[in-house]
Amino acid sequence: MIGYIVRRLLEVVPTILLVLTLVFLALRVLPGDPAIAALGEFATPDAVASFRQKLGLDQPLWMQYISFLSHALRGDFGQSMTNGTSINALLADSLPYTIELAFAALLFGLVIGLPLGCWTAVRRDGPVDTFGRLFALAGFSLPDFYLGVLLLLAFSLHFDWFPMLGGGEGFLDTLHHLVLPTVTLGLVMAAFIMRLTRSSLLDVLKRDYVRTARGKGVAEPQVIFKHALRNALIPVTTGMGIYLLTTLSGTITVELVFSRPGLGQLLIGGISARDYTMVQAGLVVFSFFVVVVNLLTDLLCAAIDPRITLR
Amino acid sequence: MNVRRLALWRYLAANRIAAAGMGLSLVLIMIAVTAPVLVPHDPLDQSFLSANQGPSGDYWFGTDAFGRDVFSRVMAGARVSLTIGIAAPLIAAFFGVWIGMLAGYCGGWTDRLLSRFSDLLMSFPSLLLGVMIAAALGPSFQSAIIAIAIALFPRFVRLARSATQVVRREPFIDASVAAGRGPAAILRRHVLPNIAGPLVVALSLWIATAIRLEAALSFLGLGAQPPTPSWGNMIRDGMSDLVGDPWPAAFGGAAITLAVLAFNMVGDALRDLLDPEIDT
Amino acid sequence: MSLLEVIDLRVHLFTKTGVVRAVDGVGFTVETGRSLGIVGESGCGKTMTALALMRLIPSPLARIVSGTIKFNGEDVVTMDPARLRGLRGGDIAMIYQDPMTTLNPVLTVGEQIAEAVRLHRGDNRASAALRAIEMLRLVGIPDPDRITSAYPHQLSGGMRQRVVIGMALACDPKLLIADEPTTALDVTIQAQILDLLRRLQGEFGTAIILITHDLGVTADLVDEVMVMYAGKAVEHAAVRWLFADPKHPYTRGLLRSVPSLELREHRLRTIEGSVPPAHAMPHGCRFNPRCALVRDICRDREPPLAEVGHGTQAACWALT
Repeated sequence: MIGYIVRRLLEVVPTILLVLTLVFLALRVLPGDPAIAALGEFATPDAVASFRQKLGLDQPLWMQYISFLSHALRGDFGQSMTNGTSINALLADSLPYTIELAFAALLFGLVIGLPLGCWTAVRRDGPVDTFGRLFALAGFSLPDFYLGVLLLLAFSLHFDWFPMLGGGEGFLDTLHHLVLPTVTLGLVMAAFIMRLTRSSLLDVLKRDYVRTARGKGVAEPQVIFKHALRNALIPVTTGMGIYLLTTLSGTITVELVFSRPGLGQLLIGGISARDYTMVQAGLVVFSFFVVVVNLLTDLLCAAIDPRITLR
Repeated sequence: MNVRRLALWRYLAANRIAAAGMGLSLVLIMIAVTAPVLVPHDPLDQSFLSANQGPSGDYWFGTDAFGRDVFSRVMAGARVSLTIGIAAPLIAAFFGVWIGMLAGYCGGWTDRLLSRFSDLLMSFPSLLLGVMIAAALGPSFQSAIIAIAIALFPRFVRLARSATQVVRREPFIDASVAAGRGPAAILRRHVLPNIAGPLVVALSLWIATAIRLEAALSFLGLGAQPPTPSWGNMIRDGMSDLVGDPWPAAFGGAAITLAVLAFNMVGDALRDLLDPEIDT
Repeated sequence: MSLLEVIDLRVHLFTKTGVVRAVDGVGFTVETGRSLGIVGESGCGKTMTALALMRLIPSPLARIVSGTIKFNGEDVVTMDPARLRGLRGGDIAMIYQDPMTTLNPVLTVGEQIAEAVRLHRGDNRASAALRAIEMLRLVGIPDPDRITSAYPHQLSGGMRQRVVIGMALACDPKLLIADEPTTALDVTIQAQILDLLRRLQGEFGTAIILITHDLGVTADLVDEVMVMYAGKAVEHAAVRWLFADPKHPYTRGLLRSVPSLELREHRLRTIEGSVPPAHAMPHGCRFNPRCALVRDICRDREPPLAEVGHGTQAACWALT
């Protein structure tokens, strides 16, 4: 077990290096001169030169790489090309909005999806199940941002119950601003979680040990909650990491719909403005989350199921 | 072959939903193909006099802020979204299946290397990966295809790899090797037919995903660039005037939903037909 | 009054390709403290019969369509669910074929036994836990104080089966149904498990119904044997007579096909033909396509079970 943890932790190092390298290369692949893109076509050669020098773009590629790596690993992302603000400051301001949305949506998805999944499994083929199937179908087909637009139209613009944009200041205001985005992302998550819970529970209910429980005289509610559900929830628990990553990437579009000042906005804004340092920083931060969440998920799986570590 | 076709018709007759899905997908593809000819108005034609109108006899889905006919734009957008939505998975399948078969057949270090790389790609949520690649390549129609193809590629690798591993264990493979057959021939003749079924199911389901991904990328401004209409960027443009003119966004999004729904239904129907052991 | 009386039990499976008559008019009795072996090949309906006794048939796929199962005079088929639950694990208990899948992987073995004890004997948690340890000791598990907090995957197949037996016997059942308890285990473990069952039966006087496809297993353990074929009972005999003088052609075929260490045979003997598929049962006696004694009436009408000597009953036109 310890061996597995150590191995897995060690694997993180080359993974992060690989990802950082890919991010570095990706942005150098882009055709066009970043200096011109930032300063405009009519910039003077001097301005261009000093811009390039300031950002270290005149140095050989391998030196830029080392510099990038050392800065990234220290968590120093430099300054935004568009307005010179410290990227770290921008990140610090926007990260909370993204993180809170991602977790809130996941929570919402669990709260709705888990019970719905159980219910549709137990009341299989009934009207509840049909509703569940339609819900799942809608969840998979409706793009999250479209749902967001619809909810925005209805509950914010039409009924004026919720604010149209921003992240909110102060606890209650933040919550108020969180509602629609959370429901948007959360409903889609709920559909996924419901589907998984349902099929997992249906699968478990067919197992021999459920028959054994009934054969012992255990009452049906106990059979479902004590014997079946605990087993059925294992795939859901181990899938939690993936769900978190899904909500995290979902924040990118939903933040745009609701004009939330989160990380996604920074990234997308940076892309449109050709702000390379910003885009670099955004990609690195998102990648970092991906690597960390995957690591935690693997460790969690190993903790739950000791058989995995034997491989 | 005849038996399979009969089974398909019988299945469609019995299962209205699947038939509806298949019908809808075909209609959408037809629209995409014939859009340039059949559009009632030029999707790029601006007219400030008719801006921000609701649905009417002249403009079935209304007009947008520039006076462009939303219905025509939805039709033209089908062309963009469906082209990307179908091309990207096909490209991903083409590369993914070969790499997957290679990994599954060779085993050892080749397998480990390829699998690790594929798993790394897959550990990133598709949209995030798509955004990253579109950011690197610069927003455009082509970069959207590449981005989505790369995002879907590892799924096909995994599919082909596990199917190959199963077939690899069969004794007739060893017999083929002993008879002097090269790995490429073996893969083509023995493995490929076996994975054809699951592959087709996967393709249609991933087409649905690709359409949704393309819509998201367009919505973020990373796909086909204006003035070319795509369903996603219609919503994006529509956001700025949502109260006054919700029609572009509403119909654009409805189109996306319908397309994703249709291909999902096709995928489910194909899965029932070709892979019936799975109980959904 | 017999402990268990089964009359004309019919269990049907409702599959996409049609109705399968898995158990088609089977009847038998078991007296208190006695044991019955139900023998037959895979698919003959013996497991369905066993599951029917406690109404554990997997519905909606299958259902008891008719028949009576009287346990201590009460009909299990029409019993209300609450009473049935009291019976299951209490007066009637069952052990199953595959110890690898019978136990719940997320609960400790001790808890799985204690749960039955709490349900049927009304013990509180503490005393039920102690009883669980006692049961583990009874079934021959070493170091029961430690094993009681173990999870099933930490135990071997043989140990798990012992746990299942312990769980079944924890509440002193009057009837134990053992569905192929040794099929999934090594031969050496098999012998141990059978010894255990014999010992426990001697100690507690539990009636046992032993389901098996292995005739040899019945020889030591049971008093009576019922041979099943294609959903029907074809022979009913005291175990001594079954081996000494088998009457039904199927039974004789089964016994003949067991290779002997004493006689030198050059070819293994088999019963010609194979079990007919569920949806294509032959008309009349189900065994007729494979029977050496077949005559016209066999293809026409099903033979009833009838006395054929020394208390044996067999369903064969050639014998009556």
